[in-house]
Amino acid sequence: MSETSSRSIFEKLIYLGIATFFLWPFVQLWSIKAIPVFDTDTHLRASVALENLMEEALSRPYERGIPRSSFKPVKGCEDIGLQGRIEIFPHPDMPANVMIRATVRWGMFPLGKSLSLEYLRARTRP
Amino acid sequence: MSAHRAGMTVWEVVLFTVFLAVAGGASVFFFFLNSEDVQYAQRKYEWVQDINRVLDAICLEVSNSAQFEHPFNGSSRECFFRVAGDAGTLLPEESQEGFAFVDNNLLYVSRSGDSTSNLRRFGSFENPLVINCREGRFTRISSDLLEIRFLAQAPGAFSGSREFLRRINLRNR
Repeated sequence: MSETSSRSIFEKLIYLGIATFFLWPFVQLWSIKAIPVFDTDTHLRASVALENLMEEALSRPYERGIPRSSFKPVKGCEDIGLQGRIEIFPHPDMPANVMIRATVRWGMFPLGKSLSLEYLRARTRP
Repeated sequence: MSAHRAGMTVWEVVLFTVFLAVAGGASVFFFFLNSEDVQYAQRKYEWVQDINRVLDAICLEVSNSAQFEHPFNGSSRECFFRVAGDAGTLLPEESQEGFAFVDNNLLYVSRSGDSTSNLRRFGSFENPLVINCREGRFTRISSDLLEIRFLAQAPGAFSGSREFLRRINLRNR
C-alpha cells in the first residue's frame, strides 16, 4: 500500500470500534443521569413527575403484583415526551413484602434517560 | 516522490481552519454563557427549585400528619391537619395546622378553636412560603390522595406562569 492512499474501510471500522469502546461508558453515564453538569429544568420536571407517580402508586389499595406494565405518557409533560411506569412485585428476598417501583424515561434511544424510585411496602402498617 | 514546495500544504491549511473554527466557536459559547439570557434562565431555574424545595417540605408534613382534617372531599383553598407529636401522641383536637392560599400567597397557618394565625415559620422557610401564585387548590382525589396545584409567576417576569402539581399519599389518612 502506498503512503498517499487513504485508509481502507476496514481500518476506518476498526477506528470506529475503538472509539466506541472508549466512549460507551460515558454514554451509559449520561443515560443514568450521573453527570450532574446537565442538571436542567427537564430533570427537575421529570423528578417531580416521578414523585407524583410514586405517591399515586402508594395510595392504591394493597396489591400483590402488577409484574410488567408498559410505559404511558405522563399527563402535563407531553412537551418533553415523558413516559412513566409503575411496577409492583413481591420482593425477591423478603416474600412477605412488596416492592413498588416507579420509572420515568424521556429522550430518544441512544441518549435516552430514565429515573426510578423504589419503595418497600409491608402489609401491616407500623 | 513529490517536489518540495514552499508555503503550507493542504492538510496544514485544513488543520489551521479547524483550530480557528474551534476557537471561534468556544469564544462565542463563552460570551453566550455570560449573557443576560443565561443569567435569566439560571435565576428562573433557581426560583423553580426553591418552590420545589418548599413543596417537598409541605408534602412531607402533610403525608406524615396524624389526621388529615379539612378537604374531606372536593377541593379547597386551604387544608388543615393535626400534626404528629414528637412522642407519638396527638395534640388536642382544637389545635390544627395547615396551609392556605391567601392573597396570591401560600401561607403556613395554625388554627385553634377561636382564631387562625399565620405569623409562623415553617421549618427553615419564612412565612409567605410562595409568593405570587394564583389558582391554588388542594384537591382530595381519593381518601388517601391529596393534590396541590397552583400557578406561579416568576418575580420579574412580565408574562407566562408555571404550573406546580404535587400528589401526596396521606399515610395515616
